[in-house]
Amino acid sequence: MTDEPKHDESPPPDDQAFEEALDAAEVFSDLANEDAALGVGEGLEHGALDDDAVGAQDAEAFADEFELPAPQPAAVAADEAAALAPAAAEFGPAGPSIGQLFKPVVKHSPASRIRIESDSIGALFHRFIEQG
Amino acid sequence: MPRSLRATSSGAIDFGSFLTTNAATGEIRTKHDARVVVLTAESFLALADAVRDRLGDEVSDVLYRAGYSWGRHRFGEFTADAEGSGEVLYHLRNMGLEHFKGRFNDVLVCGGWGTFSIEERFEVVLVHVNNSAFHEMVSSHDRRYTDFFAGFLAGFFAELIGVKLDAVQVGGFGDAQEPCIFLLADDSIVSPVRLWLDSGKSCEEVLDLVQAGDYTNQPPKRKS
Repeated sequence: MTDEPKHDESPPPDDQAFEEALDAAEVFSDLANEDAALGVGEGLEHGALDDDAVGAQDAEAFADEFELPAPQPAAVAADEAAALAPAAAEFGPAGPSIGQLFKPVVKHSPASRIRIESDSIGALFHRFIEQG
Repeated sequence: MPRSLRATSSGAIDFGSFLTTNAATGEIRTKHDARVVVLTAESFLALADAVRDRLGDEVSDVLYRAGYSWGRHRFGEFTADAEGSGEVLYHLRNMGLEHFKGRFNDVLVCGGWGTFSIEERFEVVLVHVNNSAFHEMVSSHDRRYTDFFAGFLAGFFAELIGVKLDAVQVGGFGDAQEPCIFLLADDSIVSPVRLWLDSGKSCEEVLDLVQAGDYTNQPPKRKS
């Protein structure tokens, strides 16, 4: 008599990959919403946008461009933030980011628009979108 | 330190899972399956000296460009590492600074280049490389050769941040124990910094001028 194989309770590899892709899409969506909000804020600083309605339209346009969900109400965003907390914890305590460190440098750059190149960080974004 | 590396009690690192050696085939490969050879100071100097003898002052630009390409390539491996550990979930530019420092130190430690710290000051970024291999191995031979490492930093961080960056070593040319200081910024700032350095200004004097923000009398920009 052979031993009965132990039941593996972990999800099949495909399901696990799907879950990971879903997580990736959620995190990216959240970050994109933050980026959209930042973009609107910076636009207002430079006088390019003159009211909140225009800012909201720009944020939605940003989301559309990247085929992402439009910015969500605060309550939904809070729920998502709570869900993402474990993933965020992997990156250590909240604090300044490497991108923020370079912000004053970027301000001096005539090409301060973020480049999306196939061999750069942009490739990661596109991969996110494909996964989502 | 990467999870894959183990430090002994003396601080030496077991490269077990970062480098794989195969005595039968005579290969050393990284975990990215890139073949590696041990590039000693003598080999690098032989190459750089030949370029300098042929091109003169342009050796600086040539080495910078080579370093820039290397930095861009290394950034690609950096993102691959992030993906492998599940950190592709996170926008790398939003990586916490302390976390980034640890990860980037892994890059330098694994390659034997030293360790680093980074700070923003006077709207430029200063990178401190401690126990720099380049300082120890080549800068005493020809100071211009440090442009290779400056190019590496510019290429790596330009990819990370997404804008064109220029870099130059501004400090740490003396005592080997002194950290090497590289200044990263737009070339409209780095070009006059080079001029100031060429005119004999010290690191402190250059940083004072950067703080003052007077970038008039700019020299020609580095060819792109």
